[in-house]
Amino acid sequence: MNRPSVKCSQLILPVILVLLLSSIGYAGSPYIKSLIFVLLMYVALAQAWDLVGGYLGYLNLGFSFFIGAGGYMFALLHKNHLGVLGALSLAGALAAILAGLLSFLLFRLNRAYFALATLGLVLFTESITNNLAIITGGQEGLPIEPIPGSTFYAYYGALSLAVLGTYVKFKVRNSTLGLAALSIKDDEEAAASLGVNPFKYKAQLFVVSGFFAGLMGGLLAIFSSYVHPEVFFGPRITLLPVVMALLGGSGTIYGPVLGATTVILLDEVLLNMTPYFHLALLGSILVVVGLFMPKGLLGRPGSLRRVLGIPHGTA
Amino acid sequence: MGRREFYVAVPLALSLGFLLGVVIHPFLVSTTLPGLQTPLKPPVEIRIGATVSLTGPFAGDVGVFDKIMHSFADLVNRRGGIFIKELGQRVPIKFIIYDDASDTVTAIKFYEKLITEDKVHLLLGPFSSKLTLAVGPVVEKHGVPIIWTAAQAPAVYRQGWKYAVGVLDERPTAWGEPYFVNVLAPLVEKGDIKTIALIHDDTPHSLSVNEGAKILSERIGLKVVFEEKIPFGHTDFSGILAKLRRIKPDIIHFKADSPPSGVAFVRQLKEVNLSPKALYFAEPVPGVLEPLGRDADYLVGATYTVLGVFQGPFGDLSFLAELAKTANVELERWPWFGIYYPAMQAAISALEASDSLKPDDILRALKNLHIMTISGPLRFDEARGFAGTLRPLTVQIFNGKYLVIAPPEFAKASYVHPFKPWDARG
Amino acid sequence: MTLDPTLILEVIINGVLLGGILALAAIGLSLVLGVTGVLNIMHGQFLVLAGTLSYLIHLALKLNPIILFIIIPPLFFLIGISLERSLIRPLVSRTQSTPLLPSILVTFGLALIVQDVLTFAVGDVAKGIPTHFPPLKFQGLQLPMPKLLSLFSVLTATLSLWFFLVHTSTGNAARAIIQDREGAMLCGIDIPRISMLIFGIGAALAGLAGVYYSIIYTVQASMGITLTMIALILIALGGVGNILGTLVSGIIVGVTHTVVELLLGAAWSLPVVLLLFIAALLARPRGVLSE
Repeated sequence: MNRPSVKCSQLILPVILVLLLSSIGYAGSPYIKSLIFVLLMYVALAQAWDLVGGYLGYLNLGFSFFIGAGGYMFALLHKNHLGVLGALSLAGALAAILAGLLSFLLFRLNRAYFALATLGLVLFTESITNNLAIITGGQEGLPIEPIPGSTFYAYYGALSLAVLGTYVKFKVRNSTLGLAALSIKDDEEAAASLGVNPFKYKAQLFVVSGFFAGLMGGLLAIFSSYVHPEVFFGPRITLLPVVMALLGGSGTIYGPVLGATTVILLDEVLLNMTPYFHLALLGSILVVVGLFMPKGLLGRPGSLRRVLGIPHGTA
Repeated sequence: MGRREFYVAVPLALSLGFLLGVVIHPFLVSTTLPGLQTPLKPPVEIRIGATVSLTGPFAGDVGVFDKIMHSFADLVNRRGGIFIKELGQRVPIKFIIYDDASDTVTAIKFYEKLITEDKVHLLLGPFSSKLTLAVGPVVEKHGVPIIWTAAQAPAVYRQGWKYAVGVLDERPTAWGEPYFVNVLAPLVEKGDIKTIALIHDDTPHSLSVNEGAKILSERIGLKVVFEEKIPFGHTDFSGILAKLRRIKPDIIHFKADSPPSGVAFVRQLKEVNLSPKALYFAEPVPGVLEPLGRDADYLVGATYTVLGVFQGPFGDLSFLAELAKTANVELERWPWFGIYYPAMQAAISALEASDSLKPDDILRALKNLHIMTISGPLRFDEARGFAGTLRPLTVQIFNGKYLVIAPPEFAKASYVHPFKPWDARG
Repeated sequence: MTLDPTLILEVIINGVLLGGILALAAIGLSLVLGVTGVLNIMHGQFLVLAGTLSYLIHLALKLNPIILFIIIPPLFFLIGISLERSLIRPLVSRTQSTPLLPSILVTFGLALIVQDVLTFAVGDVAKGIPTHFPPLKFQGLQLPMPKLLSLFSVLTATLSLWFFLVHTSTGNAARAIIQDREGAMLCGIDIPRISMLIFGIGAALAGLAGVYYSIIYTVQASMGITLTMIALILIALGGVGNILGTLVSGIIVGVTHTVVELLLGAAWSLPVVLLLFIAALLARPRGVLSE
């Protein structure tokens, strides 16, 4: 089994990056902090999604189900006078529990139906959230009481989740769980016949993925001081992490980071220039990547990796 | 460096470079639309900030308002700008506008930017209660005055924000009151109509208008015999229409923010040949009237944007015509122009009335404001959380045109009753 | 309110009509997915494009809407073919047996581009055509002509496709590809040519549905991807490549939608349909109505 140790030189740049980001959280202008928060949020979400999408090959098209569950849980708990950290932890825990329960149902399905079922699930949830307006506020949303230091919580929370998410992907990749996941992704039946219990590994990754998403949902609620069905269950937050992970290289450790950075960076530059053609530009990038680098920017042969001389088989 | 380190280094270096650029950029180039490059901010210029939904679902509602705002500033500046007491002279105004993409997080981010980097003197709100509720805490935290342009949800005015005022009369009855009180009440008295059916979609504005309809129905003695909420964008009304055909209400009150819903409802009403005595289609926007064609005749509704009824500063028809030409926009086709423009009129008036350019002074001037706008008299009511006084005019549609029928003092045409039955139309 | 039988019948008939339109929007995608293995997310965008073109043509020329039914589907047949040749074929040849994931990226990207172009051209607003077809009066019921026509269209299309797939050599080849791609290759079937043809048919069907949408409902630039998702739901229920299955699931979904609206209210139509969808997937993990 391949368990490469981490060389010190490998960590220099990530550490510098994290330090820089931390200092922005302290010294940056509110606008920059908001921008970087969004970036970090999507890095965290893309990584969490990719645990299941990239390592297992199961595309969760309803990923925002957990984000929204976390967000609404936080809002409701906070409304009932629970402290920020307590509400946040419970939000994450709820998301993890839901993920655990759902895995019994969802992983009975093959990959295609898994994708569609998760899509159906989030559409259903958005609908119900609207209908149960007495609890959820429906389309008026739920404003959240101003939290002192909300920017601090949101920013450093997102930074932590982004870093943690990337670390988890690294750890899992080089572990038994990761190896099992890859064998399931390659050929599930073969893996099962060799004694790998698919469900156990699928469920574990699904729960971790959901947990991260739930926590991030809570942090988003803190940042916005507001929850609304369209923000937490809508197409933007459901699909962007997926697109980012696929674009950057699904199944790699840093792929989703690159994907998220590219999309957010591009969007910010464009938004300041012209209202039109953001979607078209993103779409063109997707077409080009899909045609020439189908496994994403950091994916397998034919991609950036070969250009950079990266050997096949690492991260 | 080995290969593995190299592959890690490149994306990280890219990210580092990006971050450095992001940190440095305010010192390099100003990023305002539409391409104005000013390295430093000149001291004598009034900056008004806002996000406009240039993309996303709300683009259909306000997508051209950036052009309107910039053109407005152009025309005002050509006439010398506005007079600022503190400076003792006329000063040009400038709008700084970002696209919020109809997204709450983007809106929050750009209001942060407008306040802390662009250092605007005054803000206008984003479109919709959803974006307003998301942006409110940010603006309140920094203490910059803001005028909500398009926030209908009563919740907005109950947050206790001190730095916000809103132009709309947010009360549920504000929308339909002239119709119910001036038009329907006499008919109820005569015994001509007795029952009403209420259908509305799931948005804060629709919920509010529907509430108002219930209150007004009770006030004038109409009995609500049917009420149903539809999801936003719902386009198949078979079940509802089957029920309505059995109930046969005298009035159908339909409020949907989503144009596809409205178009589908009227078409399907025609398909089942259900002709009430009156069809109140609360929000008869051009996006609904165009696909319906003549099927929209006899509909009654309300709209803010009726030009020529009121004026106020820069509100006369010739100025508006010049504005339309400069911005290359057909003003009457944008239903929310009638609330955005009064906000702009209020902004100018408050800035001129204010003792200084300090936020608290501008805020005080706003709260004491009492002006005329193109949609009627405007002041901000402390008792209602500083919501405003703008109400729409009741109109009846014929051949794609809006005819004002209520309130009586502004009516240009009389109400045609009853709704011409579908099978009597050509 | 008491539930009298004519009420329920009316609602069920309307449900069938609704289902017909939904199915018409979906069968093209089902065929394409089955034969080529490519998930064309652009499918919904074809529909919106067709609807928008119909609107623009009607605005400019004010012709009888029937003309639109004659020009649009062939036009989209050509569009479908050129799309297949230019973008899909190289994609499939590069990725061999699993074109699904990259095809999602590429067609999703294309869908975004088309959406943006449409938004730039006419705005992201609802566009529709006012028409005046006299209704069909039958047994005290008044049935709307456009929806009847669309039901007629989808039945005709289903029948024609069935005939094509079963009784023509090209169609048989297509069916062979759906059932066993590698086997078909071994038999010498010209997969690229057939894929191109099928793509064209799929696009033409989407175009036809688009014309109906502009008459019955409205079309809007941002609707495209949502429509593809609805089509996917029907396809999942009916079985990929199973045209009749897609039609039947369309009708089931339509009737469920309208009956739930009658009994529980409009707010519950969508959640109940989705719940049934998920339940159906769970009950038959390989496809609910597949043969």
